[in-house]
Amino acid sequence: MELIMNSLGGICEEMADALVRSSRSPNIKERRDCSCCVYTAKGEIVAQAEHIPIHLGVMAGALRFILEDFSPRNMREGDVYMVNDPYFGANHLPDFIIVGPLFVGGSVVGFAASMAHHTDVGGISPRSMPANATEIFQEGLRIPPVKLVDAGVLNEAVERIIVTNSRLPEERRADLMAQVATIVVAQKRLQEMGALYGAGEIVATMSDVLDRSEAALRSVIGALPRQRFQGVSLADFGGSAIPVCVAIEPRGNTLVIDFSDTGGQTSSPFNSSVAATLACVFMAVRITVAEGLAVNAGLYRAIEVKLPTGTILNPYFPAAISAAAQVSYHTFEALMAAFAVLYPNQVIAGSGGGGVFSFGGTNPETGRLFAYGEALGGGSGASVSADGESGMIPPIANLHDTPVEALEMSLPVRIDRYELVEDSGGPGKFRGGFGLRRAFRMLTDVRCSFQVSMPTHGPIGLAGGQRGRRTEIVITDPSGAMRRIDRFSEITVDSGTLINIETAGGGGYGDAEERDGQARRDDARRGYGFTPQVPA
Amino acid sequence: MSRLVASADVGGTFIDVVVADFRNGATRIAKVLHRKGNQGPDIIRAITALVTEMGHGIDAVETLVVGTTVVTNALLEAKLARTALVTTKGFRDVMEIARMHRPSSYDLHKRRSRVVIERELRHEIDERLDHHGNVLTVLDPAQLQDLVVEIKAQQVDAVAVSLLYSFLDPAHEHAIADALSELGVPVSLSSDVLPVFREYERTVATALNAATNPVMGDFLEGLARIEAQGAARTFVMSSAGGSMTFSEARRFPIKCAMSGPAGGAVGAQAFARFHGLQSLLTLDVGGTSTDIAMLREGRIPSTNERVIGGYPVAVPSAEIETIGAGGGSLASVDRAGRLMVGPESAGSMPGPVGYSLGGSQPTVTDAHLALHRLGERSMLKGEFVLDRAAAIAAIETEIAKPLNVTWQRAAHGILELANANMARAVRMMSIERGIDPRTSRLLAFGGAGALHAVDVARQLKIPRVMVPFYCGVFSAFGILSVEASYDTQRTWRRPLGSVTMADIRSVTEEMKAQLEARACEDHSSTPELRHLWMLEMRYIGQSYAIAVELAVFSAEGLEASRQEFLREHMARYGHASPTDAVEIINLRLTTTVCGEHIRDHQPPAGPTVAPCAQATREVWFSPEAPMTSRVFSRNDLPDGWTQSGPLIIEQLDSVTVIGPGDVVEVIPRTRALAITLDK
Repeated sequence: MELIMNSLGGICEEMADALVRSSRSPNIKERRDCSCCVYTAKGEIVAQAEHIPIHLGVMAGALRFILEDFSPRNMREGDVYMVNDPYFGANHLPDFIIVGPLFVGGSVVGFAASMAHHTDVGGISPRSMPANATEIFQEGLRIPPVKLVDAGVLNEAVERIIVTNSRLPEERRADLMAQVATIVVAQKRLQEMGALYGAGEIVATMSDVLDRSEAALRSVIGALPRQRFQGVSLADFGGSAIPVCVAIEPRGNTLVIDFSDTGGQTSSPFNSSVAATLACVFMAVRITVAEGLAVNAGLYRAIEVKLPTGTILNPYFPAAISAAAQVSYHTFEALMAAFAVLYPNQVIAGSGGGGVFSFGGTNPETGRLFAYGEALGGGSGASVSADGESGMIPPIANLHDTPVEALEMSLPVRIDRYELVEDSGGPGKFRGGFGLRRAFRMLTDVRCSFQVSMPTHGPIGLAGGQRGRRTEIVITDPSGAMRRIDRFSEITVDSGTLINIETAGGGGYGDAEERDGQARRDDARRGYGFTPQVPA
Repeated sequence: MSRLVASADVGGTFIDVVVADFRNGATRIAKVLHRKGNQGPDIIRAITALVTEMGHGIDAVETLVVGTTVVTNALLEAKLARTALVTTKGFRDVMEIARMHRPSSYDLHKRRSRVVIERELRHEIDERLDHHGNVLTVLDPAQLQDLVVEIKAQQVDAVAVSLLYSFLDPAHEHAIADALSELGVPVSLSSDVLPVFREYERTVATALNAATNPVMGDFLEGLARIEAQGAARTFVMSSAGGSMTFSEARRFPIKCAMSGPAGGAVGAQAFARFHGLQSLLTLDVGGTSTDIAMLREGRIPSTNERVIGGYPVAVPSAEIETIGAGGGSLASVDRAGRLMVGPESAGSMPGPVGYSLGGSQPTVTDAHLALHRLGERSMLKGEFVLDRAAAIAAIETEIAKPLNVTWQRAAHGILELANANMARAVRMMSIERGIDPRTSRLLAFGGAGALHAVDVARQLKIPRVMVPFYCGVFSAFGILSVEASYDTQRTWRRPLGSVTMADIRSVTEEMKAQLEARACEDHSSTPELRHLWMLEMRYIGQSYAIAVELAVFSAEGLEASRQEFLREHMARYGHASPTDAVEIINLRLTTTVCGEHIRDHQPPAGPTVAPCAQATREVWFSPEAPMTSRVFSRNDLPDGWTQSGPLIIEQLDSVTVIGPGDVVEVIPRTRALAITLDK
């Protein structure tokens, strides 16, 4: 059994590795905004390459929508399907989910999928993450479940529609092909496994693994105290905040996670997809109740999630939704607060991030359109035993940064500073990590989308720890005039403009009075600027 | 006048030493216990013992090459010297931000590796180049002087200098190095250590180079005695598979971070050359880890994406995959009732249960011992007696009971899982590079390689396993055959379509001159040199490059490199567009000093009479019932001898297990075993 599971895990790793190395979107190649997994024939995730937690939650649901439109009975070897529309189970439009059936001896034993964030899929702003969208139609090309490859033959009509709708057509085509190649790899590998173990053995193992994980999690849930645990996070995109409220309650051997008291959807892209919300739930369960258990969809069976339509976590069609990941930071924060009573050693305080900053225009060096953006990390939340790490992406999305030299070599922008924001971590017995300062000097006129995260207040502390510092974005135009960006904003700036982004610090843990003297002295010596009453 | 060459390979538990006589081929091997922190003197002690046995003094050693783990261990244990950093203003935290990602997606508490240089020792200076190498901000000499005073007060052991785009113009770094020279501590420049783009990786490599400078210095100091004894020429094995003079190794210790495993890679290359093999997979199983590599066209390719101790080490090294599975890997049963093997290891202390050194948790070695693949007297010619009953008892209690199975099944489970981990790594290594394992051979070495090789090969349908004669000390033999080499690289980004020969020569001539100068400085006479040029290419828009050789400096040569890139891209990733534009991103040069090593060293001739089995023992090849298996001594096997399994072949430094139905043959002259697997 372990052998088959090892091989399935290996397939996912192999897929992900090939994708990162051969793609052209900065998101995929430098930031690794992509994930790969293998499902059972019923569409439950059984193995995955551990990249982006949020993706794996999303992939858990997306296949169901494809299977509603395409019956596995009619599938053929070499078929590949895709979807990107959150109203068909996807995350947000730039995330393409590509899926193919895995055949052994003529029957479908499972599916392989890869998900990757493409730089630009059309819509009103370069990079398809507009800050001012009110409907999903403004965010880019919607692709419902479609068959992209028919028994090994690419549907060129679909490909052309996708490519034509992007500001970066060549990059779209190359990355789409790189994603399709991962499925072909998985299909080939599974056939080899089939020859080794036989279809029956593979199917039985997958099913057994899921059952075991489910049973193990249910037995843990059955032993939890019969209480209701609540957590709240104020989802902050500037202006009035939306409460994300969660109540966790074990009932029998099922864990009920209820978001019913959560606030209503917004008329901005700051709404979560169902898939992204479920991803947060799975992530939170995984690191607390299910800690140490094998991770697969068997765990999901023991969890019931209540997610009323019309809330920020499950908006009515056709709400804009591209900033789903930023809402997820808050969903996760609320879950951590709720689990903190039961699992004080597992949770961490709220983690800061700056949100997503995208920009685009015409590159004067090449005369061609460009679009680029990045999700910026901040200070991580402190825990019961350690300070938060600094300049790190929040837990739900595990991305890399783009190296300054790689960025400047390909785009008309210069990074003046890339460093930590001193004194931005929330005080506590253990302090939050420090946020990031990244200063972008534009070398041409660009349109900017600020899907800013935590512009009003920083992430929460736990157990008496205090909030981290909020995100601060200041734009200095060539004349020296300055303005602060304190909400989702869409603006055009001139060449020479400096955009200084300081991302939120992490929340602290425990009472700041109890902070260890040596830790205070270390912070002071290292110039982290955390100086209140440093004992000698 | 005798002409001895000696090599040493330092492992986690043992130091393997080989001394060979150039004139008559006489060879001695030894394994001595490795006392931590004492590598230099231990190496000298071991070599002295062997040389004395051969009737010589230490001064008879003409050449010494060592593979060392001092740098690796310093990185793994984060035992780094107090080092200061000088970097471009605005970027002192690049090292701490560490590419912004989380070290583990699902473990919120996992920490990043400790930052190489703490913030109070990271200094900024006003200066800036753009991405073409143009100066945007000039370096201010007055500010530089203040900086030197500040760093002096911090009493550091080394300094690293890493400025943005220094690979395009190192002038600012050179000016800073000049100013820092009055401190009298080693200074590492990023434009010397790793002159390629991506500031985080370059800065970390430079910082690690500076921070391991003292430890490498101490190690070489420990070998000074042998260096001082007359004619000895002394080298350190580099990660890239060449040898570096001591002075070169002192300057660039980070280039020796994979010094140990690289010996096995070089040995495998020599083995392949002699046996006329083009492609070969290698399995080097030691006490705590397993190294896997793949030869293509007779060579092990090089990589610059290695991570050691959580730190990216982006200098070229032989492409070797290391996984935490070895003889000492611990077996256990987790909360969900799953059997787990490794990556934690019992190491040499307390070691496997069967070693009777205090270990109580069963290991992979204990599984071999329980199943009798390893005999009680298999190790070091029976000088070290193993406790099989204790191994069985531990497997019974810790694994079999919780899983509710027999100990035989539990022990099998442990081996299956360890083999599966190895097989998975071998598969990634081969498939990812477009080689089907079913068409390859598996070369097994290291203390435990030949215990696992047949089973790993069977899983991957590799039809043939080869076990070299001195398999247990094979890496030390590899080190013996190494040539002195130098390498450098340079970020030089150009669309392939626009590259002219004059253009490329302007850079390559300079790189070549630089390495030639270093080679001439180290080797008194005018050495004969060989140059290997690699181009790192990618499609425009990609981030990761593929290195392909530039064999001929001409338009046709460039086109051949492009074709090779397309083939490679297709083989690795399953797609390649022949029309999309390709660019060169980095140039790499390796310069090798020819003919200063032992080529194709072979063991002494074997016996001519058919061997007798020393004994038989009951070996559990399946959990159901044991099979009576004959046990042979490796030294007794004549050339051409062939036999069907099940059987066990024992030697001083290793044990080979041959399964039922498999056929083994002794290859004439090299005395390597070739095992053809039963289908």
